[in-house]
Amino acid sequence: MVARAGLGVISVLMQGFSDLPITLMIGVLILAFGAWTWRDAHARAIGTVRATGGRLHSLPGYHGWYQLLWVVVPAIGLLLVFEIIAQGTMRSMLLGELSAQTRDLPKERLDLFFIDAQKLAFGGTPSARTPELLAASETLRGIRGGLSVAFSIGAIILAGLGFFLSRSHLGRDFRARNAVEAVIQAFMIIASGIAIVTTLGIVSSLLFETIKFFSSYSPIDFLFGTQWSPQVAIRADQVGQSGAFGAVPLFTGTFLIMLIAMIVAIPVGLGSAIYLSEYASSRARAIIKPILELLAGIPTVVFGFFALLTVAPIIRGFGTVIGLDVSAQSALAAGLVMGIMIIPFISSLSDDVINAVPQALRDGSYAMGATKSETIGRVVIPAALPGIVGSVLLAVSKALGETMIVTMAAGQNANLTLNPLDMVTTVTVQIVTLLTGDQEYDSPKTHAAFALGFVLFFVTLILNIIALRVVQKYREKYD
Amino acid sequence: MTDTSSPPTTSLRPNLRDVVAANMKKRYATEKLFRGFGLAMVATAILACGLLVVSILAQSVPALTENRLHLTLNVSAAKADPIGKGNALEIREQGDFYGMVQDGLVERFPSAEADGTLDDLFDVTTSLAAVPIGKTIAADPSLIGKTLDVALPVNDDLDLFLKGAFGKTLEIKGRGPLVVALQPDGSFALSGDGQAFATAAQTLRNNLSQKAAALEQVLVTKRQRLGAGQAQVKALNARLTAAKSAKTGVAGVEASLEQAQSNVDGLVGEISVDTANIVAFRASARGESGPLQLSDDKPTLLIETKSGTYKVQSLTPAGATAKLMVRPQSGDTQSDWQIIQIATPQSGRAVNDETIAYGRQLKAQNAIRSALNTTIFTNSDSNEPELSGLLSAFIGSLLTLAVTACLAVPIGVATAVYLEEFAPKNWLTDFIEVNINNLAAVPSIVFGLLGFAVFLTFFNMPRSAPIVGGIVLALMSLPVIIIASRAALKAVPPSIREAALGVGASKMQTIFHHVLPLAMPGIMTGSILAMAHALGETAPLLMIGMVAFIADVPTGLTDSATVLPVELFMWAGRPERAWEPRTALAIILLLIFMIVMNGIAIYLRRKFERRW
Repeated sequence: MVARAGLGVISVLMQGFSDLPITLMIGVLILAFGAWTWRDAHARAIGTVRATGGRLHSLPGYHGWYQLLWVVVPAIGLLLVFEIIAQGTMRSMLLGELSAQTRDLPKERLDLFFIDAQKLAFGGTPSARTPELLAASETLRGIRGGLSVAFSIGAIILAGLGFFLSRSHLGRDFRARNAVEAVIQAFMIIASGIAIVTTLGIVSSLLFETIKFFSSYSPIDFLFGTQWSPQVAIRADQVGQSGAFGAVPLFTGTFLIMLIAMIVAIPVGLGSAIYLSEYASSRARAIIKPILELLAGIPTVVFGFFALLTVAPIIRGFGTVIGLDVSAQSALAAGLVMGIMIIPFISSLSDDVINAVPQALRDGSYAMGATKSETIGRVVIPAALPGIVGSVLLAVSKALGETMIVTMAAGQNANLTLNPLDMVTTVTVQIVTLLTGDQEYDSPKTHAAFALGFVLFFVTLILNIIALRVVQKYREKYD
Repeated sequence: MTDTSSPPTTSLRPNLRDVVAANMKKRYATEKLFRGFGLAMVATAILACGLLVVSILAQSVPALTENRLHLTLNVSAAKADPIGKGNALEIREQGDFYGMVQDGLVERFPSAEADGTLDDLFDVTTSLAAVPIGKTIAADPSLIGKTLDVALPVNDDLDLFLKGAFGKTLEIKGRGPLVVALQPDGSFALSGDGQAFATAAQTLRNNLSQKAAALEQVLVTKRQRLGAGQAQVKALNARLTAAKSAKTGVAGVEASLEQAQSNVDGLVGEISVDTANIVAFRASARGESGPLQLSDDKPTLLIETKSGTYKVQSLTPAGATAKLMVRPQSGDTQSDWQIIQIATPQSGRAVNDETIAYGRQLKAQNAIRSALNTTIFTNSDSNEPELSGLLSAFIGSLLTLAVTACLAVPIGVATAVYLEEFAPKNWLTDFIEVNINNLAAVPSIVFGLLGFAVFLTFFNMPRSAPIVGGIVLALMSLPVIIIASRAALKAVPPSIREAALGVGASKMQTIFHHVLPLAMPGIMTGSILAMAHALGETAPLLMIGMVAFIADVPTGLTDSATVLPVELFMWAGRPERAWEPRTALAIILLLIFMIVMNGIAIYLRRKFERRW
């Protein structure tokens, strides 16, 4: 009875899980096995001491962890490798099976074919259902099935090997703790390296693509050209579509919007920081600070929506009333909203530096009979100036790199103008425009986006380095 | 002896007290001014925040409810399962479910076909709205042959109209029984009790003269712009001659000249159209040309009886000529009628008068009912605003954030522990530190470029996949988590470490058993804040192709997916009006998520914060 009920449960479970990839099931099984080996090694360590006397070098838990690491890490690692390479391997194996006609399709069509075949094979709504696709999906299913079975068997073998290997090491005097700690330390060192790898990845990818771009387009024309129209000719004989990548209009547009944002953000941010740290009662501070923090937590895409659908129409309506021609997407709207976005950034950074000015300086000034505003203007601000400059520089760097507000509210037209009522475009907007949509990976437009990204990265990096240096120097002065 | 004639003893130095006193007023005024400035700046910041929140709340109001069309459908085998094998897939793919909805509508208005308004009737809802009916029937084929009650979201523009988004709809109660007489040309002559249409005619005339006045205002600014444009053309012409003689930059000047000239031409055209409109509106408003003639660019007047609707074509205070929109059912007494004035002309809205007439009648029959908008939670993205929802984007956000959290938190904490507790002080660790601080300030779009170049191009990972998005966001939030975790570790006093080391714990045990648990609240706070930021991040995800139309709910980490902020970015860019309130509602939902996450972080900080 019980056995039959159990079988029933198992068959139901099997049916439920038959959709799951086999590798996932094996992964879960290996994890469960790992948990069991922890208990096994733990119990055995205690058993050894009970049987032979003496003391363990490491606590029994470390024995457990040692064995668990041996069982789980290599096996799960193998399964992860499978997940990473599966897509590419499946593709290249499928390519060998396809008819020559399909194989010679252009890359985008082939991509689509592959995606459709995948959807047909593993669920999803394909864009077409041709016989060849159906055949390909069958092949894909076969390939994936074979691969996953092979890798699963490999993972099981690795787990078993790890189990027996570690089991042979473990004993009363085995330094399991040191071994486990070495693994943890190694993990931490690798983790710390990721920051460097990320930076290297950013620099090398930007540099690599930028060099590619400059091999086909002169850097002088890019940095000093005033014509930006990246529509590259699709056909050779097409008229008026030659790509021009003169980035000056983008630089002026970025600069203009940053300037407007700073005109809003510096007085408001700095003014609120001074008021909050020097004048406001602690109760007012307790209410106002969270509001500013809330402002800081709002996603930039929300600011973009606000700029596009609330601020821009207000400015436009106001312009119409006083007889000015304001375009629907103006630098002013984007700049104003970006300024609002940056207010909490400047106010919280300046608040920190103003609070770091020693009270003794203020007291000295008061003792001389200075009023509060005189103390702030002649003592506190000069003392905090390096820190404030640092925070403003960081804010500038943030404004230059801000993407969503300008993408939604500043527009695409690369006008070379300093009129805030006109439509301008920025470096970040153009990166988004060039890289979204159906782009080839290897076209001048894509490379141009990376060249723009490189300029942006370079400029913000320098601003950041200067700002961080200044702030650090300042902190050291009063610490 | 006292010498009274000697001069009073005044020192050469001015009295300091007097000088200070004289300045005092000015100094206090400055003080007040300065304080006022600070307060004004704080008020500006709060006002900006308030304006943002209030405007988004106000914009979202129309999307809070939705109008649904309730119909009882006859599920016939011929329509639902034309192949007749009861196969679920075949039912879903071959069944004509919109046809059933159409039948249901025709059942309510049998005369629509004869009146030639069938298409307008069907515009009440879209064919895509019928897709879920197919799913229901495919899931339960026993429904075939029975009746099925359904509720379908109505067409977005009709929905907006019924919510009053196209200006106020004026309703004037009709006086006396409505007398309808069929004219030889197929139109109807309507009359009521005496001057039954006087009020309607008067409001219409007022409306027209207001329009004329508004147009005149616009015309003034347009004339100014025309003047400026003509001056610009003149200046450019001069520059062109100069450029031609100098033989440089001719092409650039020619391009701007062409642009300016086309602007001027466009303005001239607009001005002549506007002038003609003003004249026409004024003439109609004064009623010079007899009865008031209505057309597509003037407000719409509908006459509604209990079950029928007429559209007024021309109007006098005593009667109207009208076109039949919805044929009244037999037995309609016509004693109870009203005049409906829709201020926005038909040419200024996406839904036509016929569909509005049907919509209003359906609403009167209680077949269209308003309910809380649940579609936005249960549906995924769609081309039709009324059928679109956030489900797929929400799941996409969840998957992406799961990847980010699984990668960024362990790696970030491990890095922080290593740098704070283990790392030797040398150039390499210094370099890592500087690196992390700089990475924290790198624009997020640069991480998107990294993702595009490394994961998509180099590793050939799938586009739009949560796994790629998650990795990119993890790299972006790592520095933030590291910095927060280091601060939390630093705050744990050395005495804890010394005590643990003193009783024989290894360095690793000291940190993992004692220091890390004490630093955990700070680490969790920093991590949750970083995750909240990652939840709202948009730009890097645009780079890796997550800006795609995703109608299916993603089921795995490599499926195509999009996330909430990207979804609302896409919605904000779509042209139909109905997207605006939906986007605002989506923003509110996103903000609620972020506030909850931030709230948890603040709660953790408050609850577990410990001052040593």
